[in-house]
Amino acid sequence: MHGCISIIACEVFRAELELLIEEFQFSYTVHFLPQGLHDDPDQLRVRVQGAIDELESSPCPPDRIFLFYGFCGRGLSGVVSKRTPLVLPRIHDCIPLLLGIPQKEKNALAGSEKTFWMSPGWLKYSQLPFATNRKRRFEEYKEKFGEDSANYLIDMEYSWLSEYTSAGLICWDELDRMSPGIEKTADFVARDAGLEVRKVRGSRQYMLEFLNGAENEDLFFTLPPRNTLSLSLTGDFLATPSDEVE
Amino acid sequence: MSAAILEEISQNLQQGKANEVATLVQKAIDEGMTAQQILDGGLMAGMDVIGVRFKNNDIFIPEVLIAARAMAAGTDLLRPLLVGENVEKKGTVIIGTIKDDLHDIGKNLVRMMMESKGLDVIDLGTDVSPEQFVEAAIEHNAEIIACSALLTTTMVHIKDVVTAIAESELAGKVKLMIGGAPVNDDFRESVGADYYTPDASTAAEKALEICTAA
Repeated sequence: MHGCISIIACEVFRAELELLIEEFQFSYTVHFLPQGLHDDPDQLRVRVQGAIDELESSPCPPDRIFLFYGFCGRGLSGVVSKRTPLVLPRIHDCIPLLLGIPQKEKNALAGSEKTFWMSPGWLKYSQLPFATNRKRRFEEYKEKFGEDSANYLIDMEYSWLSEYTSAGLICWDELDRMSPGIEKTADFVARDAGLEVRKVRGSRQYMLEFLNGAENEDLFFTLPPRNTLSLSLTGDFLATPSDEVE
Repeated sequence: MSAAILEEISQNLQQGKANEVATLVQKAIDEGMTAQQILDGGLMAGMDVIGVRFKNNDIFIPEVLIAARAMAAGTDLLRPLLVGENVEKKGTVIIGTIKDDLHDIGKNLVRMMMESKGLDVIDLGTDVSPEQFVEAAIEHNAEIIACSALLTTTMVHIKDVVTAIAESELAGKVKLMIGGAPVNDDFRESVGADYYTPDASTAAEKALEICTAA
């Protein structure tokens, strides 16, 4: 029904994607890239482009490639395919897809910008390692710069968290099945950050629509082959023909 | 003697030794050096080295942060003396992250590097509205407004800052510098901002250049 589809996904979505793929028996191949590439959008672009190129040059290239990514600091701008439509959700980061709501609805959520969002993927690949490695980082700084500077650097690492007013754990109905013990982990990470956790109801609906074919053009954008992705001044996705594809 | 102590200040600053820098700056003051001499020959000389090494990826954010902290330890002692010496201001920058954006690590780094160049930097913090940028620039007679955005959902507000400036008494007088991970020079051109810089070191150099030319 949907043709041959391959998925390139940020590992932040691994728990949710694996749950849905197993439950609904989707036969897509999924290529996960490490969480955190958005810290260096140029690197994100390089990695996603590499994965696209690999799929297109494989013996059995897909009919469509689904990108489970937000625009993530413009990391997806400039990605291009030679022959394969690229389909992506109309979101600027992963949070709307995890919450299960469109970008505009997420923007309108009260306190959204001051929320330290948590999900199984965010906790596993980013937030828990940050919290548990604090002592190790301190020791490394101390060895390199001395104790006074080490204390200062750890304080600076946490200073960005002072802008947040609460931590929001995105809760799907299957949360504990996806990630056993996650509420305790969220509590630990939030306490380390000096924040209180609140549960925020999430939904599988947006991701399921994506996996079911991404037909809703209000929610999904299709980048034609030999076009690159960019943003308009109002934040809408645009396709621009590329001269650089051979 | 004075060259030796200035070199010691510079070296300790580069190693991020804030307490040692403060002690050495006080010693230089006690030995009769002017605040301007200590600032230029000791503290800023050290931060210039840091700036070059950071731009060349020879050192990274932790080294810059502790060097900037050491610089601040020195300038805290010099500040009252600089006022007394009637030192000419190099320029004033209003800095902040754009409306709805809370990511300020990069902005803080830019502020530190600009201060290390001798610029007065008025930091408005995060989530700054276009009106707040303009009001602060008027109040402080600033040459530059510098705003950063880290999210593609917030960078769209940079256009609002361009518009706010154009519709105010600052039109044609203040320069708008922009930065942040999703921002680039094409975006700068599309929104009508004046300058884009890719990193904190370049931002500080450009700001000094703008203020010197103003």
